[in-house]
Amino acid sequence: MRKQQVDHVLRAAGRITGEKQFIIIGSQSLHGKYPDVADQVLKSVEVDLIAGNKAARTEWLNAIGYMSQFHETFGYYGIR
Amino acid sequence: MKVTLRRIGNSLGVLLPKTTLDGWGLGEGDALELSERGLRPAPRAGFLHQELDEIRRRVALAIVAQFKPSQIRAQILANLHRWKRQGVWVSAFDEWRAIANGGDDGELFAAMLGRDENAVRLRQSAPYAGLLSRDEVRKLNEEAAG
Repeated sequence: MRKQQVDHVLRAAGRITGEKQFIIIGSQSLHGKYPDVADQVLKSVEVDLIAGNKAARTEWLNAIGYMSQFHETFGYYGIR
Repeated sequence: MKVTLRRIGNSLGVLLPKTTLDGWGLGEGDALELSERGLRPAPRAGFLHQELDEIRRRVALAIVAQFKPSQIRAQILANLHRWKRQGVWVSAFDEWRAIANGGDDGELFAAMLGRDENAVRLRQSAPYAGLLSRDEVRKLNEEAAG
């Protein structure tokens, strides 16, 4: 996954939850520390994230989750 | 275990034993969920990886139960074609495309339903989104969340 695609998931997650900060878990978190990491290194199409200050709202992320319309449209998705 | 309702200010409440709270992994400030079925710990913010894969398997099972292999293959190829045009591609998609083009139903079902490491990995990048209705996906997520 490219960084711009991870950013897209984060923007969508922000709109859904009203949260501005997210914790990314797993391989996609490399984009935060190494913005130039090669796309080929990150083979997954999932972004594992938790809403930073509103963890309960993380459940709302099903709207951009696995098998959601977002997943179907873009080919990647967020999980919680 | 029975707990007694006690007056707390203008309300009635219960005192929860420390052993119960320890068992639930909860402390002061944590949330409980009150429903018709009772009082229990609020659902966690996320799933464990094993739980996530179980959801993916259930989704795949629901798809296999409702659609013919040819329909699943068509959806896979249509999604992959569109995603590639949009610049979204990972190596697992090459494998799914080969499976979809291969015509071997056993290989398709093994990838969708298998419990081996390879199937778990492939399901993370499953390209059959769009076959189940939003309601069905929501129901599977709710069941998984308990």
